[in-house]
Amino acid sequence: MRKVPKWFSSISVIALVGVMLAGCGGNNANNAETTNNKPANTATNETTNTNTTNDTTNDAATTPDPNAPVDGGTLTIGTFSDIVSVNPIYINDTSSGDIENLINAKLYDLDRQGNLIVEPWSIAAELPQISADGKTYTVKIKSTAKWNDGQPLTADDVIFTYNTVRNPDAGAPGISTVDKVEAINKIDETTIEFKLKQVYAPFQYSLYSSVVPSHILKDVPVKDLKTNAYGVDPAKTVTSGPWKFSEWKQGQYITLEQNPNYWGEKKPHIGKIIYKIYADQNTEVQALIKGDIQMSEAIPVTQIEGVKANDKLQVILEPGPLYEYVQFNFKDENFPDKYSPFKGQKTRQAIAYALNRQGMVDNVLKGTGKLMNSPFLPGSWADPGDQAVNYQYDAEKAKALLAEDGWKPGKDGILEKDGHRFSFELQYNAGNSRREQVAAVIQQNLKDVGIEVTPKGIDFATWIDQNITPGKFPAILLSWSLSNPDPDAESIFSSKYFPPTGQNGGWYKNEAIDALWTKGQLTIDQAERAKVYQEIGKEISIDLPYVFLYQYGLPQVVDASKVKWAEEDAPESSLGYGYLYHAINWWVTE
Amino acid sequence: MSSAALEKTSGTAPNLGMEKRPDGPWKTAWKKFRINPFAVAGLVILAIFVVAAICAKWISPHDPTRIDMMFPNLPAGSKGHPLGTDELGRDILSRLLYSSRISLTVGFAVAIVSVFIGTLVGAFAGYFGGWVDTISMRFVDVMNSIPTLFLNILILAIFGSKMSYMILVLAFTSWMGVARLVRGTYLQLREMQYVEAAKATGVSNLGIIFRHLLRNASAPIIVTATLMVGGAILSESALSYLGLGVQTPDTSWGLMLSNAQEFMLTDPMQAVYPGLCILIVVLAVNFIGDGIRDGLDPRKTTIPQRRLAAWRKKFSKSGI
Amino acid sequence: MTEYLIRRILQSVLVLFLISILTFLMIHAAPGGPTQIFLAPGLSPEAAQIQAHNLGLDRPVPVQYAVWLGNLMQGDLGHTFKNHIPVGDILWPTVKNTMVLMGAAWLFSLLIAVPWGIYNSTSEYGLSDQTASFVSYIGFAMPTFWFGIILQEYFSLKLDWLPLSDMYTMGKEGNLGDLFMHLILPVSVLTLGFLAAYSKYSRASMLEVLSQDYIRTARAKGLKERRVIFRHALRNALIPIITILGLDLPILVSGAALTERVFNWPGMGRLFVDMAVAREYSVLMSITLVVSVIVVLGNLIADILYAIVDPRVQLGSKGGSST
Repeated sequence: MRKVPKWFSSISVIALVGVMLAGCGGNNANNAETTNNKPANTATNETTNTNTTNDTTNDAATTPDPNAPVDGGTLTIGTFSDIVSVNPIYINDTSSGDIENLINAKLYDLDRQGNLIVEPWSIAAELPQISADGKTYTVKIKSTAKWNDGQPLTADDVIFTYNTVRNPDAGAPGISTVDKVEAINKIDETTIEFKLKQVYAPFQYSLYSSVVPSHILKDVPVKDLKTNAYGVDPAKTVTSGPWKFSEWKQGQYITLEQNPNYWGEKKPHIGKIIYKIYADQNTEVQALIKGDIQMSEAIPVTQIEGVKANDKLQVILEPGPLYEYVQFNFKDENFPDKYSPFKGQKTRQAIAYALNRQGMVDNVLKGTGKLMNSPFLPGSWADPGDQAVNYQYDAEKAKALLAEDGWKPGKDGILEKDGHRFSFELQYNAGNSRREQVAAVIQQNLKDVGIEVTPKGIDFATWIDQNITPGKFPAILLSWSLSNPDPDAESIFSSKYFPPTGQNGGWYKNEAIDALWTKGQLTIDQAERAKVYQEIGKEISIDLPYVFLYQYGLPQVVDASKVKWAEEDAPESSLGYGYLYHAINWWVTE
Repeated sequence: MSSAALEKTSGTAPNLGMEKRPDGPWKTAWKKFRINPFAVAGLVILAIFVVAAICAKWISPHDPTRIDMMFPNLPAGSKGHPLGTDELGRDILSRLLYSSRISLTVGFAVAIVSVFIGTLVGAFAGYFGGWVDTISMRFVDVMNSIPTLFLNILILAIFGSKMSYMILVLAFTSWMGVARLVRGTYLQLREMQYVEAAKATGVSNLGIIFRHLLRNASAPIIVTATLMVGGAILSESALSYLGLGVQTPDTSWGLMLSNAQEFMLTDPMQAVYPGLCILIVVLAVNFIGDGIRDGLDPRKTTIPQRRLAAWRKKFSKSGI
Repeated sequence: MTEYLIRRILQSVLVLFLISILTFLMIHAAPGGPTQIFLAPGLSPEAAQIQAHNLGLDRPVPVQYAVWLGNLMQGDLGHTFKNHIPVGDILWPTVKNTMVLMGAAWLFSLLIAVPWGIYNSTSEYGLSDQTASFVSYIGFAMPTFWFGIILQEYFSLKLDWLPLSDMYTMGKEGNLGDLFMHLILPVSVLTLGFLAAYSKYSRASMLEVLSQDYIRTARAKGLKERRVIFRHALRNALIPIITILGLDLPILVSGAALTERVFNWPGMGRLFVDMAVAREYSVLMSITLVVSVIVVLGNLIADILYAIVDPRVQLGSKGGSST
């Protein structure tokens, strides 16, 4: 159900706005992710798994038999914001998503590359069958699936879930992911048929979704669903996953216990999972060091050094489904002199050449990011690779391009064209130290080629409401969290999606690229689709509505002396919620 | 008794014998203030901080917002960075100096604004009495009953955090003491004969309130105002710690302290500098306030309290 | 006495009523109005209108206030906006937790501060007195949260003597020994501030009493100093302290809020900050009211005690400024 892309703020204490992390295309950094079934100690597994980065602490915590999973025990995870509701239909924030992921089985799951697969814990029995015309998806579910109240999980539940999301009265945030669905039919108790209005390739990822129990919710009027106790009251939240929602002390902790009625062939090892809520991330890190919690999804980058000094704690930092970019605004009225300086393609290319992106990755991200040249994550199946233009840092070339585009140095050394100084405000969200640093680098880099940049930090919530959503800004520095493994990004770049309905806040228009996005949606075959996205990657890297900077990740911390997993079950940073990847197979030692 | 006595109430040498026109209250106060070591030390320290804040632009070794990623987290004593640099390579000393501007501005501005509001409300309430007084004092009761920090957070959360808002909000939640004080003084003073005389000669009410009476109420107001500066600096730091105060790229001691929390593991000194600055300045301001109060207190004139106490001890029959 | 009591209670009710109006108006004066605040961002104008109507936000402000107050009287504090949980469910447990922390800090500082202040009044400017004076200056000038963070780093992380944060260790809820260990650090932080204030007050109050004529008379009669202090002076010296304890409640509550935040104490103060960030205005309104009730009640009790203890108080003459 999660597809709508979200702007990614910082994990800073203040910017506690519903930020959404969800799945995304896999990345090949995890070469070590093999079908090797040999269980291993976490520490060793992590060193092999992250050979592309240098962010693991190898500790030699030896327990009597570290390779054998033990059942029971408690895993305490730290978080710094409380959940809102774990009803999967209304999930719109990461904290709730974390819990929802553990207590619900999903129709399908994802492999490390972001492909839809059937796992032993998936509800579906086999991959969806897509009709020849690409408009009908037939889903077969396992007959063994059950709710934790003992009721069977049937086709009715699946149909109820999708129909509720489609119903505008329900107010579900995921409604746009199923707006191409024409009808959902029940073939038999375990078979469901989705009929689409048109061919729409990204639909497959709408099947990467949890299901809600229709026997509990079907009598609730649809417009009251959002305020229903389901998802808020643990006793009334009937779910189908390995753990169940057993207690919620608002602002303090959430407890998940093993689901006694769990139907999967593979049972979870960990007996109890507790999410402990801290007032801020600093307290959370202190608690990690103190040993009060065994894991944190993300700590501030600035704390990594301090955490690494503690030898039982292991930091996992790999590029995640996040990328940072500089976006230009093409609309004249967003500038003080009613003139957008970014309209020339050569000007935009010059800016791309002028930015030292590799320097940002090396110095700001300490080498843990990857350069991006297109809106597709490096290593994903849609990655255009070399086809996208890689703008190597070259200030001289930038100056030459600017001159070609008609910019001439003014009296103060700042470029001018038609009486307009090349000076603009670069907005970012205040309190995000990474962005602060990058903004400063951009300011310096562009000053070197004669462009004046004024970085301006704004409170995240205000910024999104007043600048980003209505598309009122000169230029911004921001990230996208790719909440869906599908490469389709029409709503960000197509001129069909200008504000307020769409997310093309820079008012960028390129008809050729618009057409390509549509083509990508209409192509079912993945290899064919990949070609379309490679084309887009190439075109967009020439035309540059954004300067794509880099893909980056969030540092996950695990107490390796307590939390164990086999190599093939290690966290997968490149997926949304990937920090709990295969948690059903993890175990804890006391 | 060494000079390290921590008492704040040191008296003058007895002013005996000299048959001269007695000094005015302010002159007496200054005389007493001058020989109070804590008050003087406070004044000197505050003066140093104020001068440093005003001259921050010229004495800062670096631009406080300049990020230099080549040299992050330098320790104190590094070349060119006497107190080192923070995680973004910004010079800590320069940031402290610029922070002092905001922290002190907030401190003094809040004191001034709240004295203004408090005096206005208190003066009208006390002078006119009746329903004006009742309404004002009921409002004071209301404001006094909502814990300040909660009210501050509520207002800043609703209206957004801007420095000007913060000053207004802090002033809005701290004028009640002054209002009470002024009202009390005016209640007494308005019965004075010179007020009637002034009325008889046709001086307007406003004229009496602000020209004649205010002068007589100014001493306690000044004491309260001084003590309020320290309170405002502390409140600012608390709000900044909660993320509702000063916002980047501005910086204050509170904000530095809040940011430094991230570095308690790696570089705890970053939290120590701004914390010490707050501690020292608030101490200084409080010493000054106490010094002025004692100076203006006519009961504390003749013999130093310390000596009095020693004397009392010597002659009392205390078994304790 | 009865008349004074009734008057004082009516006064308190009036103050609370005014506070409720003030809080309510504040929410409604926010930029964009309550619609902006209570509705989800990104709603279409039509949907927003429907929702506003459902929530009664399109009615006149006085009517809305009346409805809100009516619900309040019936104990209905409203629901959280984001997930429609009754505010009371979230609020009441935190009130209890805050009371535990505040009560412990209050009791602890009183137990230390009052005897200390009184002792100091008998040996003015001695070592103890000067230490008290030093502590009080530091206590007034130290940012609470900073002191808390320092204590955490040192006693919990470095020495590993005390728990870092929270009220209980997970799984030991309700264990008194565990609670005690968790109380030590936050109570120390709060105590520093109050120790300063209370020892100063009790010293000053005692000195004031000791300079009274009847004490001089008692001494002149040849009574032992110990007897003079405990039998004659102490009682009268404690009276003003009672009022001050009442007056200081807002400061205590505010201090507790910051301390709760530092120590992750699940109390009202922490909830308030969280909810301010999340813009849950119905929770903020409720907490503001609850803390105000605590303060007003505290003052009321202090005043009544004062009236009972001190026969000199002229009942009913306190008029204008009640506290």
